[in-house]
Amino acid sequence: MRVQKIINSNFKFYLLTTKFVVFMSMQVLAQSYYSEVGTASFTSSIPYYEFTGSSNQLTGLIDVSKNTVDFYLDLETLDSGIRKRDKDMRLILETKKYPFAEFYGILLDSIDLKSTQVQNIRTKGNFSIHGVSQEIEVKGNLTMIDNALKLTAEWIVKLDDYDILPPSFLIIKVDPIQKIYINVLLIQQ
Amino acid sequence: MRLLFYIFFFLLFFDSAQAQMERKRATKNMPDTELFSSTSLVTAQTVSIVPKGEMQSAISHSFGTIRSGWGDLFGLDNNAAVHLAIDYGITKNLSLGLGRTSVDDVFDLRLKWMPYRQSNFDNKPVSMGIYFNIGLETLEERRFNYSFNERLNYHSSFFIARRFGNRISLQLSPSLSHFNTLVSQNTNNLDHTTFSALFLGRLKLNETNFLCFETVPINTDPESVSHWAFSYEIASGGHVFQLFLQSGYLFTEQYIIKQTSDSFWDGDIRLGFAIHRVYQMKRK
Repeated sequence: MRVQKIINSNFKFYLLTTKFVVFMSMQVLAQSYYSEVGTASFTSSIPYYEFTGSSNQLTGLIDVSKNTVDFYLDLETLDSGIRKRDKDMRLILETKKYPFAEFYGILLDSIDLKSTQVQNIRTKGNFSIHGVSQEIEVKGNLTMIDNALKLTAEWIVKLDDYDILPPSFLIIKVDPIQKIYINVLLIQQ
Repeated sequence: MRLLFYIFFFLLFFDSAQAQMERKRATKNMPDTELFSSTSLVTAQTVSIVPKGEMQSAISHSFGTIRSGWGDLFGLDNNAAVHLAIDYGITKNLSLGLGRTSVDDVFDLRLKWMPYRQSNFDNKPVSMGIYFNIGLETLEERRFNYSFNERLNYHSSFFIARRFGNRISLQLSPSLSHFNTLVSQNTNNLDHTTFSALFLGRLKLNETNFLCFETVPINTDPESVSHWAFSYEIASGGHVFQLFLQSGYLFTEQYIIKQTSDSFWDGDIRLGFAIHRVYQMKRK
C-alpha cells in the first residue's frame, strides 16, 4: 500500500508540472507571431538602369514575450525577372554555400498589442548573408490587424561589408549599395 | 528523481524560449536545374526555354569554310549566313519564336513546349518536351513560280535530356522534317520527309564557361552529310556568347538535317558566333 501511495503522489506532481509547462508554453506561443510567406525585395540602381529582385518566401518570427525578432530567407527563391540574372545573383551570393540571409535580434521598443495604430519600432541584431554577420539596427513600422502583426522595414546593405564582390557585366556595373525592403503579415501562434 | 525532472523540463522550456528558428530550405518556386545555357546550341534547339514574360533576341553568324586559308581569311570573307531570332515566353512552359535566315530568305516560326523539366527539388530525373518549326522560303526564284504552300517546310522534335551530376548535360531529339518542295537534278529517291535524331551535349567548365557539341547521328536521307558543330559558350548576366565551328551553315534544324553537304571530319569547317540576350518584358 505504501508503494502505491508514493506512485500516486509522484504522478500528481508530474501531472501538475506538465500542466504548468504546457500552460506556460501556450502563453509564450500566444505572444509570438509567425509567417513563412513574407515578401523581401531589394533594389539595385545605377544611372539609367534599375532592377528589383524579390521573394515571397520570407520566414519570420516576432516573439513579444521574449522580445526577439528572427527572420530568414532562402536566397535561391529571389527572382529578379530575368532567369540568367538570377543565376548570376546566386553565384555572387554563393547560395550553395550560404543559402540564407538572416536577421536575429531584439526589439528595442515595446509593442502595444492593443493599439491598431502604426507603431514605429527599432530592432537591433545580427544580419548575416554570404557567411558574414554584422550588427545592424533596423527601423520599421508595425500595425496590429486582428490577430496579426503587419511589419514593413527597410535598410541599406553595403555589399563590401559582407564580402560580396559587386559584379560588373561588360560596361554595366551593379550598385555596391543595395536597399532591402521587407513586408510581412505575421500571424499569432 | 524530482530534481532530474525539473532539470529536464527547465532545459526543454529554456531551450524553446531562447533558440532561433530552425532554418529550412524553401521548396516552392526553386530554380529549375539548368541543362543548357541558351535555348539553342549552334542550330539545334535545347530543352531550355525562355521563361514567362521574358524575351530573347539572338543573332547567329557563320562564315565560309576555313580550308580556303589566308586568301579569304579562313572563310571570314565568304558566304556569311545570318540568322536573326526573337523568342518570347508565353507561359512557364511555352515559348513562341520568329526567325529569319539570310540564305534563301527563310522565315521560321517556332513553338516550344516543355511541360516536364528535370528538378532536384521535385525528383524529376529528366526534361522532356516538344518543338515545332515552320519555315517559309521567300527568296524570289526565277526558274519556278512557287505557290505559298510550295515554299513551306516543317520540323518537329521530341526532346529528352538529362543533366548528369553538376557538369554534363546530354539531349536526344528524335525528329521528323518535311520539305514541300525539293529542287534537284536527280529525280530518283527524293525523300521529302526525313526522320533523324539530333544529339547534343554540354560540358560545364565552370559557372560561366561551357563546351558544347551537336550532331545528327541518325538521318534517313542518304544524300545529306551528318552535321557536326562544337561551341564554346560564355554565359554572363542576361547574355550568352557562343563561338563555334560547324559543318552546316544554316540555322534551322530541317535545313541542317536535309541540306548539309559538307563534312566536318573532311575539313569543311566554318567559324561562327552567336549572341543571345534576354530582356525582362514585364517589370516586377
